[in-house]
Amino acid sequence: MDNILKIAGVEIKSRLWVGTGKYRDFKETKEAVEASGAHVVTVAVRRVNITDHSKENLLDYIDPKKYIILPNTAGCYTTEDAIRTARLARAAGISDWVKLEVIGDERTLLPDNEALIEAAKVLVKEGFIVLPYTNDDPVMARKLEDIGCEAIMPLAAPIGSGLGIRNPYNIRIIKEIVSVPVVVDAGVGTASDAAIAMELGCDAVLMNTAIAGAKDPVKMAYAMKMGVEAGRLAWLAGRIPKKLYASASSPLEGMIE
Amino acid sequence: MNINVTINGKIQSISAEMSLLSLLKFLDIDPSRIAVEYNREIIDRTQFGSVYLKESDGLEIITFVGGGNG
Repeated sequence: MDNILKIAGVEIKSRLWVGTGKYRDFKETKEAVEASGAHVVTVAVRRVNITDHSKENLLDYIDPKKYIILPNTAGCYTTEDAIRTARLARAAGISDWVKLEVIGDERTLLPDNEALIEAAKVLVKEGFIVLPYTNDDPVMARKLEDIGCEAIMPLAAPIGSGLGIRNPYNIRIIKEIVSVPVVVDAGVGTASDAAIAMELGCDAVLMNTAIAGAKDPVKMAYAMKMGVEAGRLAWLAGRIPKKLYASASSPLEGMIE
Repeated sequence: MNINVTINGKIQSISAEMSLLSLLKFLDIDPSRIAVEYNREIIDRTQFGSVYLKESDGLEIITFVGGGNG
């Protein structure tokens, strides 16, 4: 019924991608990720705590054999930091994919476009599969595709804001002008937001806070899974055009007189 | 004899002539899911046994943690 989403030649089994931050514990993370049906799971790169000897690792709960682990450069504010973090992530031996983030502003967590372009150029040259987190800006999207990024990840709204898709028109334009997959990344709040992203024709949606921050994250993960599936199906089915006036769906013939 | 090295931003006193691999063992860190930057240079995991630490070296040892955006 639907074609399979492929990124850099790899088949992605779910159009819902999830993050692993902000959960109560690893058990809840695992349950929510499972309920979401996600195949791509993003993780952050941080220093090992050398004094804390609780030896549990996230990857004991999120099996890299089962999931496509997508390391991110979250928290990086410069090209140099993002490149350094991406290189370290690859050296850890799990993945050569990177969700490239270069944040430009602490309060809004909006991306720094110039720094992002620079970092993307270097990492693509080094053979990374680069998936950049970017503004909902079609011009940026095209530049990132030209550099060699394997997908474009425009934000729906600021990270963790739950505001939903603030500029559906730009997201549509992005989808029209780039040929690599478009994955809405950040800003969705609830299942209908995820559905809208898919109804715009996007290839996938990535989210973290909307699930992890919900009162019942596991339930929300499942709701998001269904939202993404419903939105995708609606896109494939082709919605009716909007009209100003009514259009009866019952026949006019055979009315009683 | 001990030497001082900086590990993840903290100065640690360790015994001299320790390899990176023995340091990881000493710190009880499983080398399979981490990456190491030694004096700002990434060390391939196959080389952990052949890098020997000296006074004032700097190490960053990273792993994957829960995270999504920002």
